[in-house]
Amino acid sequence: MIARFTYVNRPSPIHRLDPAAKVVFLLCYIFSIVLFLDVRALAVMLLIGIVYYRLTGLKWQETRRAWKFILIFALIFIGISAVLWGGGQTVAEPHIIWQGPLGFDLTWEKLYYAAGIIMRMLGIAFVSIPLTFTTQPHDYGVGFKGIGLPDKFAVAIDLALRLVPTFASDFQSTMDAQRARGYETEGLRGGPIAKLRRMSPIVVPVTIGAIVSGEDIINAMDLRAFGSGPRTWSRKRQRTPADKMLIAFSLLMLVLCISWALTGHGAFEVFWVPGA
Amino acid sequence: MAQRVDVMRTDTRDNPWTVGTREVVYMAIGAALYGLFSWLTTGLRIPGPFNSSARPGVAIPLFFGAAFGPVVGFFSGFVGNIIGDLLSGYGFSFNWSLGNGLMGLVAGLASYYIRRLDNPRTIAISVGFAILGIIVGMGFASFTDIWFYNIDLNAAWTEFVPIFIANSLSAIVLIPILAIAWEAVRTRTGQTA
Repeated sequence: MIARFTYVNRPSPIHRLDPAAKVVFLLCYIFSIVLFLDVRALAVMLLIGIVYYRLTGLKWQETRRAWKFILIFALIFIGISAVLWGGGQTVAEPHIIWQGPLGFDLTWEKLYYAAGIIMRMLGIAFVSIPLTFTTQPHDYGVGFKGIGLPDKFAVAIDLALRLVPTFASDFQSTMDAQRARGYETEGLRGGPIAKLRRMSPIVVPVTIGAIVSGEDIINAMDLRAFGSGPRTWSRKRQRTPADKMLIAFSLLMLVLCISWALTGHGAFEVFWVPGA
Repeated sequence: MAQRVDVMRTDTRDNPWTVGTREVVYMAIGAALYGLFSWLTTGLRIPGPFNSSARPGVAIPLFFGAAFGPVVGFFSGFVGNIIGDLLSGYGFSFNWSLGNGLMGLVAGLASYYIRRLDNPRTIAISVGFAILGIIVGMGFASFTDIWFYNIDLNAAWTEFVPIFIANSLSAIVLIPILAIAWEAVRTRTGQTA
């Protein structure tokens, strides 16, 4: 079994960014977009998300799996539920488009609301999907160290990402060994508890084996006096002007959005109804 | 008759929040294992409109929390969920990663009451804290979707309940098995931490 990260190697401006800058942008964007339900404000935020996504140069076939889920979730579940129930928006005089059976009314208010939450979800998807596709796994530790994460946590992130292929190989060996003893790996029978119990011959040896082998890593790190002082890194990532610009833009966007929302803007509003 | 010899504790576990070399390594191992198991069980989808899957691997941050403390539990859940996302290609979900971290953290609070998982009582306490962790962590993740994606309260409950049941079953079944196996190895190898 090969545990392969979904990183796509491409010379795009987003690929070149520091992972910490991307995480700061992602968090600022999410906390900004959730402040609004006005489709005009959301359109601006969505545009920022689309521009960011376009800069990654990612192709549909590379991100298809993520997008299929997002689109099904956003358009079918969220969209339809918003059209049916309107998200609880109570309007004294709704602008009715169509009166359906069982007291259902399709109104402009419901359509605006559905459009708003679909735009919000798509916006979050445009900025969050690229993170894993544009960041080299071994850059996370150094990147997070760069935004002030303590050495111990940055090392743990680095180590975790390096251990994944090792444990995947251990998992495969364990499964092969259990199969040789007659363990059924496909189509586990029984109820949920029986299925979980049947998984233990795989989960338990891999987990306990990993913990026991961790002793060697602990000894090696202790022998090198890990944690006794500030740590140096074999790879360093200099923050580029592009990283600084993205961080500055993200913080500015967040401050502006919060200020705008606090002054009573960006709430749900039906600002234009055709023919009204 | 076999006799167990407990060596005097000289490690950092007296304070559950201390992070030493041992904790750093267990944080990494827990996160890597949880990420890997999450990825391997991505296909076990929970029926419904949400991107939720039954994760037997959820026992990893819960067990690591109980065995090695709340910081290890939090990190295993938080970073492990991100690694699972990195492997599966579903993108990155901040509130669900944080929810998974909280789940491991609350499970790790059991270390205030238990030092070892070597008898039915301490295992029961760790499972109890694990279930509390699932309520807090998955509750946080499900109900913050109201804010992130504007789903309504009923939808959040629809999201939370099946995940709570699936994760609780994993905790109830797998934590005792992992605890017994870990204690056996620990005694055999003379580890006290």
